[in-house]
Amino acid sequence: MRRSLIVLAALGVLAATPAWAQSSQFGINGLGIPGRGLSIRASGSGGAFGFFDPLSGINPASVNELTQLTAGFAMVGSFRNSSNPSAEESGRDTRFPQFMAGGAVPRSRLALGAYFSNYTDRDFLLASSDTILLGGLPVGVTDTLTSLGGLSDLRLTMGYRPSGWSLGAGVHIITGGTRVSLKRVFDDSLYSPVSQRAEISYSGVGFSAGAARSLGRGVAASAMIRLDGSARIDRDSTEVGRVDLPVTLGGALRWRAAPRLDLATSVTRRSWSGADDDLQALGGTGSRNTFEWNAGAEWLSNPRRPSSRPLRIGGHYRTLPFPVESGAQPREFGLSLGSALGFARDPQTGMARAQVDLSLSRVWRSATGGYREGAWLVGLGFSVRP
Amino acid sequence: MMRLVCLFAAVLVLGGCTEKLTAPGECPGLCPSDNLEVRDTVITATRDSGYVGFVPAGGGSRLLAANGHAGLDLIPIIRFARAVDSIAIEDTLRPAVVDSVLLYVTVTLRDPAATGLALDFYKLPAAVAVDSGTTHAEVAAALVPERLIASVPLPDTLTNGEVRVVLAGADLDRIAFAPEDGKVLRLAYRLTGATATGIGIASQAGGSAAPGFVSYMRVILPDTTISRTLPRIIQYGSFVSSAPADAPSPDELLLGGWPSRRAILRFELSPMLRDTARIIRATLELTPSEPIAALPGDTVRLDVRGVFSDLGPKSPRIAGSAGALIQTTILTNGSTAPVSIEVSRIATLWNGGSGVPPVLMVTLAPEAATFGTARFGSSRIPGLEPRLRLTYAMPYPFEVQ
Repeated sequence: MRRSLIVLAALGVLAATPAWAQSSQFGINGLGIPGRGLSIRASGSGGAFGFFDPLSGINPASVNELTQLTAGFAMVGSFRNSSNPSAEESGRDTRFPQFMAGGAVPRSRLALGAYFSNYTDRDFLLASSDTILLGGLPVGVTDTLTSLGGLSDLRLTMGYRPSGWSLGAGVHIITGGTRVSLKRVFDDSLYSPVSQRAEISYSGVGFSAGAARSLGRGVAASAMIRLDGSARIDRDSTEVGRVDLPVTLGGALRWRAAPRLDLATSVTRRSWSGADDDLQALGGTGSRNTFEWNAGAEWLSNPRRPSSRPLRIGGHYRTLPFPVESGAQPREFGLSLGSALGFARDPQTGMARAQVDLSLSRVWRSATGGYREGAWLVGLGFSVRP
Repeated sequence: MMRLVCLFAAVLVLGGCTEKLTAPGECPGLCPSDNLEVRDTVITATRDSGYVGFVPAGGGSRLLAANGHAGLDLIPIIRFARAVDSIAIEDTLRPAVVDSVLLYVTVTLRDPAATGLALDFYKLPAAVAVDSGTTHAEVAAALVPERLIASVPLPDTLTNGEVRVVLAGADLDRIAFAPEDGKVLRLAYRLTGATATGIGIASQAGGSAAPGFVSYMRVILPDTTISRTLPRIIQYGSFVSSAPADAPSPDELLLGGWPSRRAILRFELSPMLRDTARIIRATLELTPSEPIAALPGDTVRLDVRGVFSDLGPKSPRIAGSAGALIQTTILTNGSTAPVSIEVSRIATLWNGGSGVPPVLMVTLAPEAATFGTARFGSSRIPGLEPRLRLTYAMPYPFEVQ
């Protein structure tokens, strides 16, 4: 237990770097690439168990699964290769997409939780070269567009567990910002380099509600709805626009097919097309509704000790809301593998008080027009129940 | 299993330490160039002014001598510090004997095509004070054969070098002091030759290259002889002209001459150019109203600087570290082509809240030390007014892609 806490504290220092998700060339347009709100435990099985996972920030009803005070933390490393009709480039980054703390309220049917997760990510460095006409003469230019940041989702959740049901509701504060800069260097040194920077900040409020219920025979169902309203966009403290955020609807099924085997699947729809007009009015490429499907399985090596080296496997498919070129919606497909290791087991119950989750995912993203990206995502999650 | 956890952690941490976010840009989908707007415009000076009197004759790096170049007779004049006739040796002031005297000047400018030139060294009488009130008429009247110390031919190959006169023995009488001289040597240097031309000699600002007067003296003691070399510093140096400086017409900007002339060019930037846009290139264009006039072989530079505030002739000029903010171009003798000079570094100071006005001060360099003059059209002559060709970038719309 003590060793686990030391590791957690050390990684907490590392977490002083910005807490956002992976970078991608598909996170350049619009508000960026949406985060999935999953813990490492859930992402190891493709995200299929996210609706039931109390460490994930998807369904507010899942907070009821926390039987005692729990803190969780995730880090994800991305090693990717991006290509488009102009060039191919590899990149890597490490992000911290998920923090949470919560637990059951003693002597009640209530549970409370606070979640901090990545909503969208606009973390990228884009390099390009071109030739423009200046004074009637062609001049070569090299541009570097850098953006660090994105939107974050701070959720406060309360769960209630009446007989046979698990209910939850949450308030979301959508905040965050990006520090963006553009540098242009001209091939002709008579032109001074252009260097501009700005800070774009976002703010909004959302609400979510969810429910889960056991249907018998090892089957459980979960559903959620989330209304995010709109986000105000400020450029250097001056409002430049508002963008409608999506309404999210989702549902999931979980089936304990065998004492050692859990299966799950989930679907989610987000109405990002509500932001289409707003983004196009700002000069962007607009947005499209998205659909996400996850399926996965978890095999327990020891049903009495679920954190003892389970094997998780799954996959997901989703569409991304912000086209690279107008009308061409990007999509993402991924396969995942995961496991866990428990520490500091309670001598009476045998339950681990600290847990390390691992995940390894291979993700493919593409959009018509020749835009492709492949990434290895290495996830490491820590959860502690002191 | 613990090893696997450690391996995952190491991969993540080490990967994060060498973050690399770069993605390839591709047009039109991922192309910043589409959204960064760069524009060109040309603005003309709204007002300009010419001023005279910044660097007087003799205040520059050269003293000019001419025997008819541009119709002028220019005579450099020098007044040295008082000569001595005794030297302190072992706390005793002892009379000294002048063995010989060296007079020299350093030629730093000359028309390579002008041949058969000579430089005459004259000793001026005390009646010619050799100060800022000295006139050409006074000096010219004193240049009589009796006051000629020496006439030194300038080798035709000499474009930069020393010209010497050594006086010894009976020749020392040529610089013998009269009582009214007060032991102060006053010299004039007249250029002679078959062709009308001019030369420049290093002035007192030229350090060891400045005109010199060195006495080689000897003190005779009962048992030994002590020699001393005594150079005298310059107390005043200048040159006098047979004609006053040209006055510019109201419709032209006259640069050069002595005392030197400068011009201030004032432009008006729109609020968009000053506050919103970012100037990335600025080119000043001046159109000569007459051909550029300069001595062949002379390098005449047009210097352009910004000013911290527009206070007319006393506007404090921006120098910048290592001259980075002084924009310079070489003028071509006889040219009537428009002169273009890049002033981007100055113009970038006009953006934002620096308070630096869009004003340029132009001058010919070296000031008061060149035969060059330039006359440019002013803002009052349509078609010849000073122009500023600006290229600027508009703010990038960061909020969207």
